[in-house]
Amino acid sequence: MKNLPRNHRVVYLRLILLWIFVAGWLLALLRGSSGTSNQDILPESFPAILQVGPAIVRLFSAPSIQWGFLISFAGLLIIISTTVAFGRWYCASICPMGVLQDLAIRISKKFRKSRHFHFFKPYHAIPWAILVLIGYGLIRGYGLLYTMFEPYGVAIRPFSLALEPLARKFSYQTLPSQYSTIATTTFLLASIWLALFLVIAFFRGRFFCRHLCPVGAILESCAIGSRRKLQIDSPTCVNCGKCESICRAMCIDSARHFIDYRRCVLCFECLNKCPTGAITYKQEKERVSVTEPSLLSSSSGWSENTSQPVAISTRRGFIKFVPMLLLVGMWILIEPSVRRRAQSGVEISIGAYERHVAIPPGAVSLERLVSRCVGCGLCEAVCPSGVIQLSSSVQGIAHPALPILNYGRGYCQYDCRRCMAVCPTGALSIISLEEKKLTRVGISHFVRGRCIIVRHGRPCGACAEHCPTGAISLQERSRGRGRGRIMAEPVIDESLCIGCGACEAVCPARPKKAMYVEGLAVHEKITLASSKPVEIKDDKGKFPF
Amino acid sequence: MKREITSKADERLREVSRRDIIRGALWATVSMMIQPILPVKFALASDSDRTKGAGYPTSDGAKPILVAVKGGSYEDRVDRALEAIGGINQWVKKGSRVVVKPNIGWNVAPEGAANTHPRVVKRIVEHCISAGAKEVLVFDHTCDSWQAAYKNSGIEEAVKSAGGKIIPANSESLYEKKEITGASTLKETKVHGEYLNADVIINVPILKSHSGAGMTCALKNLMGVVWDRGYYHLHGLDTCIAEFALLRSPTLNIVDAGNIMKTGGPRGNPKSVFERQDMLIVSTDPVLCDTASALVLGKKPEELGYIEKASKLGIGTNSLDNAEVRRITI
Repeated sequence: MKNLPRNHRVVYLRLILLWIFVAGWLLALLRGSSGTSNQDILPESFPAILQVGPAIVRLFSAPSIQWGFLISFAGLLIIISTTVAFGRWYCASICPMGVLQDLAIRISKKFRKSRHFHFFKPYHAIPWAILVLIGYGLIRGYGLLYTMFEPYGVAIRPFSLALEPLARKFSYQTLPSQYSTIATTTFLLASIWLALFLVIAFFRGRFFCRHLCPVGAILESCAIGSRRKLQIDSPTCVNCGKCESICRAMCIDSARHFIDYRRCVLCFECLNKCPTGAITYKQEKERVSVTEPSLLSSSSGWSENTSQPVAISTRRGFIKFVPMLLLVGMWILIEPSVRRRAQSGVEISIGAYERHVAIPPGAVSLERLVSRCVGCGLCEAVCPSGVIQLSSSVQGIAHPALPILNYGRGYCQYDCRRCMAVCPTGALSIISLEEKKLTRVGISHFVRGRCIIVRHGRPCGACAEHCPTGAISLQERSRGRGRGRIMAEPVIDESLCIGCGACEAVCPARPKKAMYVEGLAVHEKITLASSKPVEIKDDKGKFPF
Repeated sequence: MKREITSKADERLREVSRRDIIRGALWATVSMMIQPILPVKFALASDSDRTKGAGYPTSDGAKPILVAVKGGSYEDRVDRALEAIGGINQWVKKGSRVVVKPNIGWNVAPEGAANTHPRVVKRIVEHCISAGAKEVLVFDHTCDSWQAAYKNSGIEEAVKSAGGKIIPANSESLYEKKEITGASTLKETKVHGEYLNADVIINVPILKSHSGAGMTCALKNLMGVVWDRGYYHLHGLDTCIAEFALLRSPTLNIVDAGNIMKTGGPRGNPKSVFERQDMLIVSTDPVLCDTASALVLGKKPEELGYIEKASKLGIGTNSLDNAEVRRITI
């Protein structure tokens, strides 16, 4: 590697970017819950905020111009413009799905020494169909395809779920023992889904990026105009076919000396492996108008029957659209049920209860959260109390990894909005701390018969103790069974309750808690009486004893 | 020495051989060498002395002292109170390992009076260090998330700047299971390891109202060194609060009553009423501290179940007449 030509430095550039992002991820996931800052933007969110998929959604979901919105917008602008100039560098450097697939491919090379990959003709229908359907879902209010095919969410979800208990151990913030492990169903769904693509990557390279990835579809159309690209220099090439056999994007046609740079993810493997140095990454000498027709007529020997819309009249082209039509057709069939599920006030059971689920503040409404959330689990990773947990049981098919508030694990901290600050898609929109303190995500309910004060006649009041808004007070109402003396028992003033779940989380009654929070599908605002000033007693030097 | 062993009774009757003695001595040496690195701490003589606490009122028959200081700044009050009680040097020796246990339960700023005021904590840590303490550890098993509570209460910074060490207490792995002899309800509980191992415990509660227990002060503040607080609530808050002090009563109690929360405690809410008292109450007896503090808060000590229970258990006295009260006005 000593005598690399100058332009091979891009190889290192890619690796540096890659490792910065990998380190960023690990830092975010392992240190997330231990932070104390309450800013609009957390440093932990930087690897997420620069992801194309979430950033695009944020453009549509930010209620106002906020820092997160601006950074996403700027990041998106940078990525799109550099893609236009240099090609799809995003896919092999900062896309976590790309990085994981590359890892699988690297492992596969150890086992499969013989001719590995081969050229695959481009086929764009499915990613575009998915992209269109995701957009449709965002408008109609459900996020199934978004969570299933947006590469960032797919890749990160299993990791944020699996690393969360470990991170809590590191930061000495342990949860109640029955909740200290990960949410099994959600984790299994997420890891099976990711593992599926990694296994495919093991055998077929970047299959996901080629055939499914909606972000890939967007970047592909951006890369059409790129001037700097990988090219095969025909006179130097000895037709050994090495480049084609190692191309994970399956975009090198070595026989025709052609690289389909729209699908090329700039992993620079071919650059390293070419024995004669025929492959270069450089500026094109003359600026050809690189639109669809010019590509077709270029001297690379590209045949016309492989291109899309233009070729729809041919039977072969039409057959290629069949899977896309099937996909759309299937979606039209299941869409009503998914939408109904996404918009209904959902009943689920957490622990012993059937109840409406509460969602984190900033989500505004269940419908909005379901359509905007990519299910990456960053909010769960940074939640200091652990109350946020991704759940697959809530929305089922409408959203397989929805962040909900599980009050068995803890309660929503009154002076915290880390989940909003870290959310890359704006599904949890950033609201001011004052506003957050007045946002009602659910309402507490008191089951009198389970209360320790009522049942045993012992003083408790843990709920009133933890209530941040003073919605719960102990009032003398009952005759305690134990001693026959008047005991004060909890009374909830519903107009002050914000549903933070502190009362439920700390209620010591077993097996069933006496307090439970019923979530709201649409968040509300409460009004608080203004705080009274500190009384200054003028009794200098007086002691009450 | 050859001898046939025919039955178990024979084996027991066997004479002690030289080899047995050497073997025994070897075992004893090895086990003594291993003991310090074992996770289980054996109760040694010094441990039982410690559990009684220096503040045990009936230890020498003398009246327990209560110092109450009013007026001045937070620092002034701490200085004057410690001076009046005879200096911190009588407990904190050179090389001592000191635990300062403030109330850091909530992610609330110092103005909210939900946590001990950081200036009080800082001054106490400084006193300990100038008295020659080897290590001053500060922690609380917080209710809100601990990093946020430590930081926003201002106590983390105060302790660090004073040269102390602030350590976590929100992980079960830091706690050791302990039996409490003489307890009827709280027979065993998990206690923070540092609370058990320290030479000196300085309990620094803030005085405020408490929805469940009526008032939180010296005895109630010790709930912050226990892992399972739900057990207290489930099995009788008053009894458990009182009985925990049987395990180990603090060496010294310093009650911050500078700005007290009269209603809506312990966390405080927008309806809470505060009152400035500019007071500090110091005693080696936590029950005495709580009795005096209750009067400051405007409550009757006899209405607070745990004060009565703790006094019956002999942890301290709930009668101010039995104590020597030193009142100081700055």
